[in-house]
Amino acid sequence: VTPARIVAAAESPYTRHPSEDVTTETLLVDAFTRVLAAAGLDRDDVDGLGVSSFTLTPDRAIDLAWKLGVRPRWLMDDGNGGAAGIQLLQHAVRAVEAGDARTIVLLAGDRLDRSSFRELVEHYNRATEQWLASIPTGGPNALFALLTQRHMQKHGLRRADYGRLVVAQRRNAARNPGAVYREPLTLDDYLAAPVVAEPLHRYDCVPVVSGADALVVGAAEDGVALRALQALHNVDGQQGDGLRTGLADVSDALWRDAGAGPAEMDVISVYDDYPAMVLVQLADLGLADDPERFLHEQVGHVALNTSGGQLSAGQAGTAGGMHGLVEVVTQLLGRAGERQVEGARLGVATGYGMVLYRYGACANAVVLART
Amino acid sequence: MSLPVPVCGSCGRATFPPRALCPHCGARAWREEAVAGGMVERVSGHVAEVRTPLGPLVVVRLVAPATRVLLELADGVPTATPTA
Repeated sequence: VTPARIVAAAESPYTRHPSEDVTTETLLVDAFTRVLAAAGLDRDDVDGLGVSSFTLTPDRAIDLAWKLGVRPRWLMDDGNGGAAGIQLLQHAVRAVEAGDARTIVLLAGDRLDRSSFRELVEHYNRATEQWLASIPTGGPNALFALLTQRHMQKHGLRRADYGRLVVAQRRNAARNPGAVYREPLTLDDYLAAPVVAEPLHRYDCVPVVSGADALVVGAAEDGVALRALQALHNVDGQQGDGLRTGLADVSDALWRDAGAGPAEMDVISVYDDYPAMVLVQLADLGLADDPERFLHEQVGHVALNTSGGQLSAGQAGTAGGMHGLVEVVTQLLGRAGERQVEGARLGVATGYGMVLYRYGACANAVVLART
Repeated sequence: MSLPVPVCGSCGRATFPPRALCPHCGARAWREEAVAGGMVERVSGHVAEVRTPLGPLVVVRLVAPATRVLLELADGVPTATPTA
């Protein structure tokens, strides 16, 4: 088996208000150029391409290959939003190991302004079109407001408890030049923010941005190795309370395959569309069995969402599903600059999302190791 | 005034919104049952989750604060109005 390594990661800078000449294609192309430069590779070295985007339509991965002048032997689209980054990685690593391709570039990105975001959330899937858009729920905010109420009740949490996580992630963002919100946020600022959908206020919701992320998976000995990857989607058919993802069912297998436990992770990226979902996934993975204790004793001390996460760096559509992965890889490659976690050797990243009716249906996680 | 809720013709369990195959038994034999009302479980602004007597939770537009509501599709909008 040919060893497969993640040899580079890159992000096309996120922006809150993209200019007219920025398109989803230009963002993905920018991320492609950046990640090849980071890897020290040429366009002609690339023989595999995987793409995730909500807004590239009607173009697909092959259109992008054409525009880039890439001749892929391995080609893949994955539209599964917050899970797509890890999905693409899953397939790319297997493809390199099997010899289907030697140098695969994975891209995820979207240009989202006010009108394209509205279009996206109203037509997210057929169930949304038919049963939610007319209410209106205003996208996922109202649904996760209901979920957060359940989470608060289940664990006896108050808004200020979630605020500790949001404030800590903003502190991380201050050291990430790519984050759209870097100015300090106090707990008082968090609590005083305008309401979005009770109990969610402004800083509980990701800022919608435009941007793109990229990874290179290559046949190489050096780089970041995939120790373990597990996924379980549609675990309960949307018939539960949303306070448990598929990760709960696969975390034992994840840590077994990784040959390491949750406490050994030097850097952690958890998909953070809403603070409650960070705590749900951490609990599923065995990283925070008691959310209240985690918020009061560990937040600020563990290297969690070191980029600032989507809550501070921004959510660029499907790029949100690659953002945390790019951050863990960047840390493990020792290229995280001012926010570098010294000696980071092992990391975990999760993907979550695709709200079918009441909450996200997709869940996956990967344990990565510096070689 | 009611909300159509799919019920599996094989195992008799209800689901909402419609699926292709029954999530419980895998059958593809649906009938619809008209559900007149339910109990509000959670509210955020005008959005609420209502528990129907058949089991499933339905996300609706809540017209006014209430615990017991009538359910209907009002011009295609899943809507809950307080019981009189």
